[in-house]
Amino acid sequence: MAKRASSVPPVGQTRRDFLRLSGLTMAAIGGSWSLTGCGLFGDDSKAADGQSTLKIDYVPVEVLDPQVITNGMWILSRGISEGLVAQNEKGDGVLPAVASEWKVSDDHLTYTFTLRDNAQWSDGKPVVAQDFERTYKRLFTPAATSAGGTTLGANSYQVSTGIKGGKDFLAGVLTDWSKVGVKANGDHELVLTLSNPNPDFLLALTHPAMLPLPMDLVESKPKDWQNPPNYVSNGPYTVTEWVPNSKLILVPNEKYWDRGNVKLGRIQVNLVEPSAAATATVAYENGETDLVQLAGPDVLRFQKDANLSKELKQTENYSILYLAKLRSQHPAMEDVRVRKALSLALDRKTLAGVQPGQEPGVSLVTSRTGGWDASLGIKEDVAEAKRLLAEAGYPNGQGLPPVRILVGVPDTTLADAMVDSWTKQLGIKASVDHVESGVYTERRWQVQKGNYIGFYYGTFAGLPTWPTMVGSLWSPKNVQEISLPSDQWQKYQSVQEDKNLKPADKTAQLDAILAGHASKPAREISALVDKANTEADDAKRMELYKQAAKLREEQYLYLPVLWLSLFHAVKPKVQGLQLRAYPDYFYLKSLSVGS
Amino acid sequence: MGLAVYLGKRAVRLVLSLIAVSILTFTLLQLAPGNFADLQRVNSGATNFGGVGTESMVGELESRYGADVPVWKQYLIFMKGAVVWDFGPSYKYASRNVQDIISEAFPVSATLALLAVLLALLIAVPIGVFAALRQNTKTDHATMFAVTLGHALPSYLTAAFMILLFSATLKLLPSGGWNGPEDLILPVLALSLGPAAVLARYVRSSMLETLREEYVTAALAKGGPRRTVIIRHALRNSLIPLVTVAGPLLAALMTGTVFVEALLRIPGLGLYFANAAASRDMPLLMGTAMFFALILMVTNLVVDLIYGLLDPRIRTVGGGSHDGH
Repeated sequence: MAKRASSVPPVGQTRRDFLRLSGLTMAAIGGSWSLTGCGLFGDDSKAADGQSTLKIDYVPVEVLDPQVITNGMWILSRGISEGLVAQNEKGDGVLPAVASEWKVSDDHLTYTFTLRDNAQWSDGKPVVAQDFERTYKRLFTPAATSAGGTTLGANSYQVSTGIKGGKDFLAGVLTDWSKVGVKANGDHELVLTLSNPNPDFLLALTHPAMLPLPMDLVESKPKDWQNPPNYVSNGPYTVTEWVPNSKLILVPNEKYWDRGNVKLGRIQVNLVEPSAAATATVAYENGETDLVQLAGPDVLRFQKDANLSKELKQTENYSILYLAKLRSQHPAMEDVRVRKALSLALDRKTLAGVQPGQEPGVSLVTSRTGGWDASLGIKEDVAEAKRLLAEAGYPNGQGLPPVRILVGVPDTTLADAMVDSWTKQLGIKASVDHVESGVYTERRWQVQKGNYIGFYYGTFAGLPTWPTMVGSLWSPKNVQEISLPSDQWQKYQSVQEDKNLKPADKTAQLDAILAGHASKPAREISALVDKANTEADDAKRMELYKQAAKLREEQYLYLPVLWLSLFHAVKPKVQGLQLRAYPDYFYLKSLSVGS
Repeated sequence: MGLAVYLGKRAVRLVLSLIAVSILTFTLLQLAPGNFADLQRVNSGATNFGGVGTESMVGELESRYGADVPVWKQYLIFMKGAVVWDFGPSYKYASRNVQDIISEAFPVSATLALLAVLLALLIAVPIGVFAALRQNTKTDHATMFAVTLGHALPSYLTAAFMILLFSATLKLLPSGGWNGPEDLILPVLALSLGPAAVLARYVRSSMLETLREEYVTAALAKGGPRRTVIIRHALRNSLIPLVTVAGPLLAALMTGTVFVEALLRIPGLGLYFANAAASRDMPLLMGTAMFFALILMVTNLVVDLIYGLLDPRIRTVGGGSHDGH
């Protein structure tokens, strides 16, 4: 090379080399491009938009495994997988699905399901009782081995479902599978046993965690079973294409037992980043999608437009916005009077007016819960709030550090409004601490240093039933944990993180900390819920739950703020949409498109 | 021999840089607050529905890295796979290996980048020449003003404007998605404007320089038609310096389309990279960061080689292989 370098060709020649080189490069690029040309946009980009095609927007799906908490599980339960039962139109009861019928024992502990003979997976294999038993065994197997060792998220099982031994098997305390209340008898009978009666049990079975998986496939292709064309489902639709961050293509499962009632030929699920949600309505109004969830400002715009307002669908009182106490070195928030004052001084009516579809959230239990009455609710009272603050040693907020609201979501509108409410009504200092979501997840469990006091900001949604509202969302255990003094809480966390402890020892140590140091009312709440769970009489049981709920409100560890609605824009051609206040929002099976 | 030694040195530097990038990325990730499993729980829509009582099951990485593997060892385990192009499964996209994600998503980003650079060249060359030929006139100033504006406009803003214009108002083009060639138009336009502005300025100044060269004056003096002289003599030689700009531009675009991808819902690698960082997905973040670093460095190397081929002075200096011989 050195030799050639010394005999450099004249510029023109080099230039021609360069041009030739760039020509070759371009040809190479062009060639590889045409090779990938058809694959670049996915497999079926050429599919025609037929009359029976529906396009809906959804958030990105990273995992198609219902046993891990991700967004993917809620698209599966919409009608890709089908459980033993499905929710009815209103979402307050269940209908037969894979199970055609079931019997409940007199003690309400044993449920015997009969699986329909003609239920099939999309690969033509029958759906049998063993499929459910094997699926649930995978669900209850601790994290290291569950989900085929490929998923590392949180297990999606709802402990409040109450299957006997499930929680202990999952915690590693119980290792004998035969002691878990899941048993397949032959191909068509599945027996599920509970540890306590649970009036919500059938509804709890509609949670994605309880959906069946094609276990032969999951075991033979532990890494690849979720990826089309491998993917196999047992619901009305199945997945033929999946481009994470882009789209999910669904077509009818031809082997589905009720195929005749599946009306769409194809569903394109656009996977839209929440950060791109600002342009989501552009896609909707531009005809790129037929169904989209709307954010506040768009809801206002739709409400004002004569045509668009007709396409707006509201799911009222879907979720609850709350504040949860942060643990701090500073003792102010350990005083229930301070917390109560802050709750009584929130002007919820004004807050509700900030965005459309909001109601003052006066209790942690939503008013949709059967038997709810106003006696559970907070009665705002600014004078009383001021009196309580003074009594606690902070007259007019003097000496009280600024009260922070730790927020980890992009929109702080409502948190800002709360701060405004406190500063105006109580004259205290308050501020929003807006952080990235990773900082949020870490900080909200820490003991805050110095004079940092306040709450973290969150939303919750759940079945509007007493066992869920009192037993599961802000469960008695959560309430006990959040009531721990800061030093005990730190000890509690270090036991949780100790990897050298055996599961049974860990559970015992954690329980001991709660028993010794959780507040007395928090332990009373626990006792009341335990009692309610075993109470057979409906009226008495509800009364116990209500007592527990009332006591929980009086602790002001969690402050209810607003009950929020959910809004969708739906094109008029979409028919059969049944919106429910549940995180999957609606089922795909009932949908069709008209002209 | 000189080239071989030069390439060898560059390769060593490249490997060392990659190791530095990997250590830096890994360390920053360890320092970042929050971990994958907690974030997944909080951020996945209705997560609030679940997770109660399962705290102890969260965040176990045992299946891959052993029960209680120290952080430095996790790094080594990861790197052992990385050297043979096996980054293992992503945490977030658990059913996919990181290398499969890269080979699926990179062609998308690379296509956008290539088309954007091509379009940028197509826009920049005529503008640059036009401005150079009218140096210091009002048209020159106006053009350069417009170009500076274009340069200052970030691609995501351009993309947002274009969505407003072409999708929301005119309803001509899809506002996003990745279903067919029509979905290329907006991202390529949005990505090319900035580079076009940069390139136009280079073409202009390079052209001005060339126009002052004696051989151009000679060609004109010889009575060659002005048009031919400008295109054949001046323009061709003016374009050579563009290689140094266009190469890194291409690399920057291939690795920097993240905002446009997010806004226009394009499943490119930039989007994965951003998501990996936000969700603390260690294998995916490490894999994409190292891949991006590799692309940048290889592109720079190729540019240096091409430039050396075009201009011997650069080769000697850049290669440094003749020193001491």
